[in-house]
Amino acid sequence: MRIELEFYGPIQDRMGGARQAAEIDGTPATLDALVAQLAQRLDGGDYLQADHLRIAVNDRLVDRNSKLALAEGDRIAFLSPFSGG
Amino acid sequence: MTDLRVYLTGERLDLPALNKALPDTETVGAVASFTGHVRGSDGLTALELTHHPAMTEPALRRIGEIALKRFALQALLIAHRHGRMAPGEPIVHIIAQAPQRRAALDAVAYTIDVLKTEAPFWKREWRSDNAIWIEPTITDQVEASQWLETET
Repeated sequence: MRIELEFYGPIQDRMGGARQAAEIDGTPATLDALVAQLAQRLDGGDYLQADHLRIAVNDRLVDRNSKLALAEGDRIAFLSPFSGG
Repeated sequence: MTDLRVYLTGERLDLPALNKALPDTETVGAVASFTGHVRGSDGLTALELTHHPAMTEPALRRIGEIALKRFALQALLIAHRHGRMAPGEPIVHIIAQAPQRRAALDAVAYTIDVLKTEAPFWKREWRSDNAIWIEPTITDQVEASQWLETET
């Protein structure tokens, strides 16, 4: 299955850009399982497991132990700590 | 009757216009505001704020709705810039209206403290052609958590 990855904030520099597509095997049952798979597949992917990153699925923040029902083309956003104001 | 106004814009904030945006009613006893500006220092040429195109405005609205209820406000305005700003330009403007001063003052403090760590914005400081990301500080996290830990 092909999904879209988005990176917001400083994580962009570590991952080499703001967006990339990724092929994943099967249908990971939880966000944690998806992140573990991406960590193995992507250059610099280990960093995706950092606790301080927040993760959104199709623009909704999701807990890492949440169950997933991914579909082709879903967007997974990794968000560096926010620094507004 | 409560009134929440949220503005997220790539244009320079027009502070005089924003200050006139909320209705002036007889029951308002206190108006408090906060404006954050780009602090020019150490050769800073610009501050760039990026945001999430779909998540940032709802996050600001959610923070505002909680503040309205928590402090029993009559009105709250949150205006936030994104894009590239020069030193001195306003980044964020918050106005709270309440019957009493404490509620208005606390609501403004709450909104800016929580916004800093809970609204999806990211800052980069530019000095000539060099940019560095600005991470939230421990102080930012402590000031937000003092409110969030007591949120009901």
